[in-house]
Amino acid sequence: MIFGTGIFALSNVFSAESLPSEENTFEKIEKSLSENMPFREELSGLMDTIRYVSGVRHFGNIYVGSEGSLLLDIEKPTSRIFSAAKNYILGFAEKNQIKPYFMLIPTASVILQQEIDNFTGKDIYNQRNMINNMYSEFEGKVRTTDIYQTLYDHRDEYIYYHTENLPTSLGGYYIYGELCNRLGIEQNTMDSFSVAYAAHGFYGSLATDFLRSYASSDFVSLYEYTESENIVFEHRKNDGSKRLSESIFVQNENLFENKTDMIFGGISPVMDITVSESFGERSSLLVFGDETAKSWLPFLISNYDRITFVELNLASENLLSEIVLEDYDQVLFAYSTSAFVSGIDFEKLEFIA
Amino acid sequence: MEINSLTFLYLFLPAALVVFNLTPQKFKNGVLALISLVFIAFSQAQNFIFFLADLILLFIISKAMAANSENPKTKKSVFLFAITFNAAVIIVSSVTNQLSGGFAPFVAMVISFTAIGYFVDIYKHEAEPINSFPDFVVFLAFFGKLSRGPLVRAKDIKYLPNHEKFSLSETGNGLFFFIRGLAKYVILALPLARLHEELLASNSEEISVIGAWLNMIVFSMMIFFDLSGFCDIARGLGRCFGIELPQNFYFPFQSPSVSDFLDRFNMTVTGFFRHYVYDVLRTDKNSRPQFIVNTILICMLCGIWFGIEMNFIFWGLYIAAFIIIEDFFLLRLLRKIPHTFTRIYTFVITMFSMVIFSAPGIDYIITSFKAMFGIGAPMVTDHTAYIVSQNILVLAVGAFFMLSLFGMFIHYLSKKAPVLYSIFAVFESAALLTLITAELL
Repeated sequence: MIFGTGIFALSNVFSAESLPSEENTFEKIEKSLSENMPFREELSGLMDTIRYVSGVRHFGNIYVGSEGSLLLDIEKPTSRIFSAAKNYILGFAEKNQIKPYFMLIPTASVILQQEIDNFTGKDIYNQRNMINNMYSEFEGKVRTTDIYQTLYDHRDEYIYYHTENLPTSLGGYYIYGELCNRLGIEQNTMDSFSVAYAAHGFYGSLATDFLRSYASSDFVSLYEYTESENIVFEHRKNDGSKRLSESIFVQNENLFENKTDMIFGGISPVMDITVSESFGERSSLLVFGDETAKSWLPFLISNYDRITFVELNLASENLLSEIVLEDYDQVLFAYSTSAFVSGIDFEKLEFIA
Repeated sequence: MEINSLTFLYLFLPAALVVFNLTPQKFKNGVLALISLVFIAFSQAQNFIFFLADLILLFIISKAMAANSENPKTKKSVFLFAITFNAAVIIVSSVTNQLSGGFAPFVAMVISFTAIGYFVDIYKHEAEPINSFPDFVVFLAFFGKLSRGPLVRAKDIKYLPNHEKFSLSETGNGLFFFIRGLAKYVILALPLARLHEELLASNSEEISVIGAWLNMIVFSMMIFFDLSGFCDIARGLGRCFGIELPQNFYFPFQSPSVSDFLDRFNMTVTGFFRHYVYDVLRTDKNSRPQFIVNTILICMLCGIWFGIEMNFIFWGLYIAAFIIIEDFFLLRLLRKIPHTFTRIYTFVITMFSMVIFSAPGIDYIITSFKAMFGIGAPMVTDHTAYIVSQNILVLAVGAFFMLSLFGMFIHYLSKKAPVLYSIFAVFESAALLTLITAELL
């Protein structure tokens, strides 16, 4: 006989005692009822509003900051995530006799922690330790870039979207600065870029109808290198199709639900950016990254002849096999901590030619 | 499908009420039995055949006992088989649930314990055998009481006027009760269960005095709103379908003694064990050893009602120890001091009992007891303070409704100003239904 929770076991309290087939039927009915309930939006917001008024600032994984930022906390990573990343990246480096660059970008939940009260802050996952631990795994074999302190020093500026779990273009510029130091390239000053502002007053994916009342809106900044001419920007899809354009920005904000997709027109499995030789002879860069690239990658274009961006979670085996590693001078892995702990398909690296 | 689902609230219950009230009087119990079986089929699909077979077998046993009422030897054999069979169902269902987690121990507990009481009553001629299968199913497995009880004796089951003819007043009253019970469970017990999980996780990292006490207070509130919520649901649904079910909780956490606590906490279960075990075994009312043994026995059984697990058995032993101490001398002492202090005494003792009740192991009990006494633990940790700051509302509302103040107000209003009470009840139910729906979305 053992100790136990009897009828108060969570499976009983939260009720889940049924066959999968039976679950499916009733889950469908329950879901349908929930989705079609009259005044659904108002009712959904009602309980959250009551909680907010009573002092709650933590809704699921989202914290409501005092300055109107919605801060998404990340899940605590499993040791499997660390070991998979370490093994595949080190294996990739060893096999190809290269020393890649690696960067983890902290999310707003830690950099803007001052927006959350002290008690709440204690509950947020410590990304600083996580980044340090990951970097120590790579010591001597992979060149790591620490941007935590830089972003923290600029925390009072608009470096993260209020309602999207991404750095803004300004945040991206600071990341670019650190990358320049590490990659051994010259950083172009802010004056070298023209800036256009778009999508004023948009709310990103973190702002549910309820949270929108307590969040500040966002806008998108489009930084373009003033001397950039003859850019050929190619989106490559898994079905083999390609889309070409001469700009990395799509000016019509109405085309996108996620307004940050105005940069690159959204992320594709593989994006290839080539620049004419008018800037002089420069090198090429292969980037494995995630959505955060929308913030810092536009700046790097001013420093390279060719940049190929690969989203490993989206790219198919065939698409990856078209990439020839020898065509690139440098290789960079750059992920937000948030995407990193959710799991990156690093095992697909073996498909790179 | 569970009672706390939109499907039950907005589809199953309205459909069941319409079908039941449109059914001619002589078929009403048949329809109610069918509704109950459909509920079991929907909520316990994998065990439905077992429960149906169980009910059929129990009815056959009941018939066999009735048929052999003039043949004591056969009747006794059938009776012993019935008791053994039901005890086996309780043990097997509880053990199966421990091992695989797939069985619903409470449905089996409610049916089997009710059946044991029924067979003892007809064996002792304290109740008449139930002759029709639909009546038998309604008595043992009325869907409203399958989740947590209460336990009903055959002679206590009462049919209300609306069991025969639709009564807006009785159905309305039933729905008020049902919604209150559902609100206790959905709006209070479930958030408190989540809060308890948070506190457990926080305490496992660093336990503080306030963290340990708060965890037990939250757990006690969760148990109270879970059990009493489901009991109100059962009573409300009973009224809707013309059945009077007994009260099961009477503000146990403001009892003036531990003995009184047991009388107010899960009353029908305590009453059941007191009637069928304690009174049967206590042949000499002045025998102290008999009192001690029987008290230990019924307290342990009250614990086992929640599951055949060590923590529930230890909880029963702990409660029994205080009842025995109170009987020896403490109760006389408690009667001489103001009620406030006796309630504080009972509250503290029952809080410690909840440590045992909720314990996943001995280490947990030792760590929690030490922290509650302030041994080697800080007063409060930042994390505990944070958890409190984020849950002020549910803690305050829970504490308010755990006390009898609101109940007394409702009772007073219903007696002194029934019209005002009815208006209040309509608005209260509408508000609670809105909150329940919002929470279930």
